[in-house]
Amino acid sequence: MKQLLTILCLTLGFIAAAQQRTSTPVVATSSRPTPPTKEKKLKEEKPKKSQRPGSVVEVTDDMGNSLFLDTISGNEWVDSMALAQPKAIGNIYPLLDAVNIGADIYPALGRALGQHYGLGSVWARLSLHNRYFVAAEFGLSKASDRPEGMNYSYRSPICPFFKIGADYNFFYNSNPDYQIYASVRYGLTRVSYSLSDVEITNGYWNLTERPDFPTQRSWNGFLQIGAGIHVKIWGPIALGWGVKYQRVIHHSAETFGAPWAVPGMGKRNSELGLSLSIIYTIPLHKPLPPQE
Amino acid sequence: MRSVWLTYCLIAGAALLLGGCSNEGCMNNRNSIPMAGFYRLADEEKLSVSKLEIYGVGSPGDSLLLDTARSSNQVYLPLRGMQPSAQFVFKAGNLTDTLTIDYNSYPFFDGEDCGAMWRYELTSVSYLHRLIDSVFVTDPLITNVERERLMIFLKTE
Repeated sequence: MKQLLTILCLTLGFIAAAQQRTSTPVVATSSRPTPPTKEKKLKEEKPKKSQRPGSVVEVTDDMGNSLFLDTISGNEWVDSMALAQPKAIGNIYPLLDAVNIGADIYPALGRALGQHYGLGSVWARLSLHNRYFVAAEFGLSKASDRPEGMNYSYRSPICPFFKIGADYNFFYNSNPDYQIYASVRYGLTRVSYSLSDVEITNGYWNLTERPDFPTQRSWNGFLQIGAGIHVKIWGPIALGWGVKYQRVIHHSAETFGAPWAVPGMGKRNSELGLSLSIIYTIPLHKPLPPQE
Repeated sequence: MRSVWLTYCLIAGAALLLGGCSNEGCMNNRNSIPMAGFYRLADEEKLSVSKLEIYGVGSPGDSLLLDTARSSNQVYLPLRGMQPSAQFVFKAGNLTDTLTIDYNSYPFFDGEDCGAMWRYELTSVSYLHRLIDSVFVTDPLITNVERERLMIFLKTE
């Protein structure tokens, strides 16, 4: 529950950050087409009330058109503030905006630092208007551990996992090199696992029993809800970091107990998941011409 | 740009802080042992017994699970994973009863922190009706969750 609240707070923080778009930079050296800056400024300015001078009166000309006339200069008075009213703009990037291809290196990094599970994954995202993203991921994971002070050795061979999901970029009309997004993923895996060197001691009967654990295979479906950041590092290369709340939402029968590591998710009892990806971006359209 | 990096750092910091957060530790027992409660037959109220000895048949030195030195309204009755049954002697003064529990057992893995253990499915419970009037099995599946699985109704006279 605590983790859920934390993720919720983080997500709310992103929304709050996204609402302060005036502070979001537009980097001129972007590797992706950027929108015209004038239009952005129009969007960011708040509407201001027209302040007509006292000497200006509204008159009707011979053609029946209504206009304002400065009675001192005799010239037509133009309401420049009204002209500056912002135009309603939607998505400034095309529907088929870009494709991101990434590799999640966090599991491999964790394994190198002593973690007992995980391998890695590759994923792809299709950017729609730089706002909505549909994503798919494929990865491999394995686990093996002999926890200190425990009565078993755990082993899970290399198992594949698949994920599908979507992201929502809060900075959809800003430079696509920098994104803060909310994400949701559904993952599915069939994990195989077995226990060995099991010793069950029974103090009362003064027994040490060594049962054989059969190898089990089970389907696990899990849900991940979180947020992430995408930051350009160099050229088309970016770095992405995600944090997510996760849970197994369905699984097949596990008569002799559930796996402790679920491929694509990590520890089954851990509600927090992390990812660190290296991302390559392929634009799907030519740079937009600047508009007046 | 600065706000993006600031948010990035905030997320990284939060992730590091929360990185170790999971439901760590075994929240249940590390063994599956059926817990039995004592009840008075007349009103089915919980009964605290003080003159009752209980031990398992064949246990090393007939070591006591419950002795007369203390009163209790519950007792753990440990089973043996590779045996199909276990017997327990109930002794109060000159009266003696024997409770026999038959079961099927299988190994079970209850996660990284709780480890491997036996699980039992009780198939039958029998007794000699000398001290024990009746036994009610509340749940035949014996897991490592601490819960009363047997209600033993004693003859209190």
